[in-house]
Amino acid sequence: MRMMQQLSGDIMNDVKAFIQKQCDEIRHTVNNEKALIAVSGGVDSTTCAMLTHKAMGNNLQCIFIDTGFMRLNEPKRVESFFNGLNLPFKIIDAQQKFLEAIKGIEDAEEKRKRFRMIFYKTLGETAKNTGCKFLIQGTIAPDWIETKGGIKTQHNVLDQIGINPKVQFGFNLIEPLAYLYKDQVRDVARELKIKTDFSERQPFPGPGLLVRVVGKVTKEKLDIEKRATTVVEENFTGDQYFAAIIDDEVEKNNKIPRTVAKFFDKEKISIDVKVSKNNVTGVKGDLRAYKKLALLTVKSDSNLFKPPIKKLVELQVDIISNNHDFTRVAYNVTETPRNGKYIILLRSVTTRDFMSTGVTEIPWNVLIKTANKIMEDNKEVSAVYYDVTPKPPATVEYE
Amino acid sequence: MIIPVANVTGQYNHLITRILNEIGVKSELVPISITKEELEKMGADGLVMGGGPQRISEEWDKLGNLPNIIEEMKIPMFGICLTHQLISIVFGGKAGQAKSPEYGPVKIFIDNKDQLLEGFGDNFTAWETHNDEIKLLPKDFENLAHSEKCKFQVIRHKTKPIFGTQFHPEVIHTENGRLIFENFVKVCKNE
Repeated sequence: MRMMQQLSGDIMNDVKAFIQKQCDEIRHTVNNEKALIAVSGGVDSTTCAMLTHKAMGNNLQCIFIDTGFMRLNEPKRVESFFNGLNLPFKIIDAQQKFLEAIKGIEDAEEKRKRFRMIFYKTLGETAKNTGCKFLIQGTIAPDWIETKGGIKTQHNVLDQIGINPKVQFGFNLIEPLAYLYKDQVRDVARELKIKTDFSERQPFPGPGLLVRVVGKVTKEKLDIEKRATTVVEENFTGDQYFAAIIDDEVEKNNKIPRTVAKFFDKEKISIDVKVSKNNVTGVKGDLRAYKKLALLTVKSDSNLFKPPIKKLVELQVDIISNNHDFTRVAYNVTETPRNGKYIILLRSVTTRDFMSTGVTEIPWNVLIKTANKIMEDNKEVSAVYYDVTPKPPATVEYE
Repeated sequence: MIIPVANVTGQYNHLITRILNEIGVKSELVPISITKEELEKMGADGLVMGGGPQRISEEWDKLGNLPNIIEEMKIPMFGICLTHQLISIVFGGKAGQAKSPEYGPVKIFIDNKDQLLEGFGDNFTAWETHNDEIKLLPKDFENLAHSEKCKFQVIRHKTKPIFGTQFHPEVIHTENGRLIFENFVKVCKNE
């Protein structure tokens, strides 16, 4: 069940009343039965856990499923945070199950669907073992909007797309935040006095780094992704920022360079455009666009040409508008002549509600410093690019 | 003040209700099958119609009762993206595949400030996501703004309170997008 259908705007006026009303409804619905909540350490599920615990006390069990796709040290960090809150908390290690389920799978939607299946099977078993009749979820508005619209399968959306969780997994679903957007969830978090390092932290997708390891997942690729993410988190700013990894399997494109040359209208520059073999997810005219990524390199006197990021975003508009097969453009920050197996993509976006996002104007020296550090740490990486695509036509995440 | 939003199933339809709520209007999503009688019964002072994934030239059957509502109802109406194109077709114009689709930031140049664009400067940046566009404006309509790649960005009926925008004023990245809704609410209040 979803609650408080039409009041997403009202909560800006009265967060206290929103919390009170949701607590009353939760108590009424669960009626002294036990409930389970899956937490990831992200803003939505943490806020949802606090809100629900306020309503039903220790009849709530918090579960953290270690999928193996978490950031470095994340499970430990989340555990100590929840222990500090005195919430009943348990980690379930399911890393092997997840890795096996997505082994050799290249298609983004197939990866997400398999993730969802293992995720809920694990939760269903846990609910059964602990006598929980309800599952509480921190689903928010963009989750069900994107899944229902066929843009991408969010792992936490079930009943809105016709999957009956009672029949399939053995529990009833409660989603107290389903009509809120991210900034409104943060308002609730602040009101609940959640520590700012959790309430204000950047969002992290439910399937975790799985959707940032583009294409087939291997342990090596996942480990590099984890290390690169740490470097980005230490250096970048924005409303959400991270690294993604793709295979260094590319082919040359001869059409896009003409658009680029016309845009810069500059003599003595050399333009090179590569196309990644891995497709990436985007959204064009409200339709899912699982399409190509253009990797753009412009040199002037054999040095990388470094125009303002704002200019590159404008260029991106021209490229995507004239090339229907493409959904993203990334721009070369650093490369080596060595033959690596992977390319790293850096991303940072600006937004309020994640329904639309801009590209953060990260200074060039920060981009280069971050990219160089990633190259130093990971000899298998041959180049690092900065993603200059807003949402739309890209989505924030890659798969 | 009650202004429902027709849910054409685009990404931002629910977001429109949020903005209307924030500016003090009662708003909720209603299905595109909604009838004139149902809208009258709920006391709608105006109607906003969202965008959607349907292709304007091939998927008429997926726009529910909206063509009838646009034609028959007298309340102020505002169509965004797909329903902006729909409005033009209902009144005898044409719409179809855009020569240059637009996604993300686009500069909008205002030709005529009118009611919907009151308080704007000469140009602003708006967020777009469209594969189709208006090809021919009906004779009862005038064009209020354009972009470099798309001629009809903001339209209005010459005598009736019916408006359309090709871009999405409901997303936070559209500069002063909220002002467009405030202006539409003024029209609904007959101010």
